[in-house]
Amino acid sequence: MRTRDDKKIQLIRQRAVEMIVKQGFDGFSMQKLAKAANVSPATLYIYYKDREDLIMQLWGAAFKEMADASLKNFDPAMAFSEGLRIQWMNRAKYCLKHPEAMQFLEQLRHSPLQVKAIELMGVEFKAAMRAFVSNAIKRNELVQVSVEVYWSIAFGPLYNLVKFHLEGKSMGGRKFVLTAKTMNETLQLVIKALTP
Amino acid sequence: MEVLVLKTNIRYKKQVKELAPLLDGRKNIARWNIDLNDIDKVLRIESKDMQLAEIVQLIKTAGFNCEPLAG
Repeated sequence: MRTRDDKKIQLIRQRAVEMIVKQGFDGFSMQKLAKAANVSPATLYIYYKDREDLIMQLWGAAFKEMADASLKNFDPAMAFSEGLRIQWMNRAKYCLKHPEAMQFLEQLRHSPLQVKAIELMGVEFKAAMRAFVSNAIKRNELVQVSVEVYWSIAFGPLYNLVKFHLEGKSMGGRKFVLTAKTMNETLQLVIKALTP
Repeated sequence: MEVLVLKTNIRYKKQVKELAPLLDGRKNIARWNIDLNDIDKVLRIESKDMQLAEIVQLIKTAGFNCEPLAG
């Protein structure tokens, strides 16, 4: 077996994410990727079993990066308002720094590959989020609602603001830039909504 | 172990099944798969001491076409 060339793999990953974000999964082929990353298609198949294997490995790497970034300075035992604030900061920072990776994660969530992606998620991130929520409920800092309702209220507004920011505009083409003030204002409303 | 990659004209799962006994039966093929999602329908083989020409011959016996992938 040939040894893996980290730089080469890094470039392959980067180009693949760019290509999928720009052209969607249908527009993505190993041949096109090989051209974009300046390697031969045969080389791609040395690193990846097939197109799906490549996409899933990309997803695994992007998700881990996102999860690690989101858990930085975070402790599931934190007070709810403080923990959520750190989650917002970490996630916003990650999304603004890696908009393409974020879009790629989102795209995969809406594809048939999603089921396989969930298996790859790993337990650490999920466990930390679950513990954070159950601790907050126990301390009566968080209303008891279904996980979908919780997620929609706790994180939906954040991702929506990030989306507006990345597009540079909001509804009807209004110009929009996400500032710390706007984010904090929204966060306070979210905390208010989720406080029993 | 070496990785060999070939472009094929295999399009359907049914055809992959037809080919399977032929490839599974080879002791020097450790693993193989065909990427039906890709335009080149790449046959990827992990093998020990197997020549490309040998594989091409094998695939052609089964009635399919294949050629080494560029590079």
